[in-house]
Amino acid sequence: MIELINYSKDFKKRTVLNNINYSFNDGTVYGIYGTNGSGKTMLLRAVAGLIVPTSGTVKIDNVELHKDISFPQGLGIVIENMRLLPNYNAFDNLKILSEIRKVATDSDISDSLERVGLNSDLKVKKYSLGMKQRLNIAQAIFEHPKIILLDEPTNALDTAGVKLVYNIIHDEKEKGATIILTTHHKEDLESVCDIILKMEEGNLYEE
Amino acid sequence: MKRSNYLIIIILTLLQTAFFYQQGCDAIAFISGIDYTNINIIYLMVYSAPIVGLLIVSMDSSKMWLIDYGQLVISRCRKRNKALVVSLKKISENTLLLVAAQCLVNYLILQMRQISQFDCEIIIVAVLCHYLTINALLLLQHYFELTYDAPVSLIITLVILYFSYFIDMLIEINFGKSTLATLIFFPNIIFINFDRLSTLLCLWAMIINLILVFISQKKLKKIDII
Repeated sequence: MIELINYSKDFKKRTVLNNINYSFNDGTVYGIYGTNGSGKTMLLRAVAGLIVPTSGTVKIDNVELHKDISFPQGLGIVIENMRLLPNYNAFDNLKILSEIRKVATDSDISDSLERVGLNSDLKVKKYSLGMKQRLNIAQAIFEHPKIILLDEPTNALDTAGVKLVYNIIHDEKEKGATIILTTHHKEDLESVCDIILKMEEGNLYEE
Repeated sequence: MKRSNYLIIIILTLLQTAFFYQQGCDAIAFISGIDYTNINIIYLMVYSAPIVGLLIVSMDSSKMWLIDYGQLVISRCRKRNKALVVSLKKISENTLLLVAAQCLVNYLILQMRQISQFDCEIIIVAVLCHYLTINALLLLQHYFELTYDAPVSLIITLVILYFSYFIDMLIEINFGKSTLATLIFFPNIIFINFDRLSTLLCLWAMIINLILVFISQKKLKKIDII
């Protein structure tokens, strides 16, 4: 379980996350929608441990982030518009990332690439936007994380790609992962999320 | 050497000192907007677990993806103070390049003590040997009051470039002749034609860097990874 307790974050006197109290349960898909700058991405960064709260805490399975641990273990994240190393192919990119945690095998890497429909040996710099996004998804799931954070995961994907991502989300949920995804549009979330949340000016509301 | 150059060296060293204290991370490797060198450093970082410290500085919007990539890498780390990503667009690349070299050396020295992978050990030993060689030359220059003329400087530069290529081959990645080493040696290439004071400043900077590495290891300051 992920718990945000009185979590606030200010940047240069501007409050981007405002006293958020919310618990994300295991094995549940959460969708967060809101306009640009509403704080969606910042909330994902807060859960990922990439930002430090101005006040409040994040607990993951009762372990406090930034106190007991620096980063959640078993976390997969898709950062918006992220790109991987352009001079490597998809497999090599994931292989390099796997060296940090050393939990994924070559077979895990191949499986995840297969799941996102990438079997190309092309270097990433020759990928289309859609292929890059598929690779981003693969890097988020190949280590079988317990928490998956997806920032605009369907960006640049065609209809088939979107369906594929939703299937992956469904499969990961069945395996017990907690999934939080963000988007600008509420209608994108309805078919895939168990719980839909709205982010507005740093505040989080359940619908 | 012009008085302004002394000033630049002092400011750069102080800047680095400030970074160490401000960020409180184990060691910092600056990455400038040079092609491939960025990738080499990330490659080194990823392959030399446990990760010690990384500060990605992207002055160039086309390299901003490195910031995101850095975040991705960091999100996989166990300890927060082991990695750090910051974007500093407003500082000129030339200014940072000088600081970069010294910071990178700190990073590599620290890595020396924590290397777990054989390949990386070879690379770092090679890089450090080259670095020490050049500084030995500086010491000799100072001790014997030698003055290197232009051809000697050119030869030294070519030797450095050769070793860069050698390092690239050791890394076995197809990035051509780019050059972790050249980045490291860059200030030395400049200092080589400087006088005694600049040599002393360079050595002073090295000593300060080493002390700071050990001091800053004990510190942990929390900072946002943007």
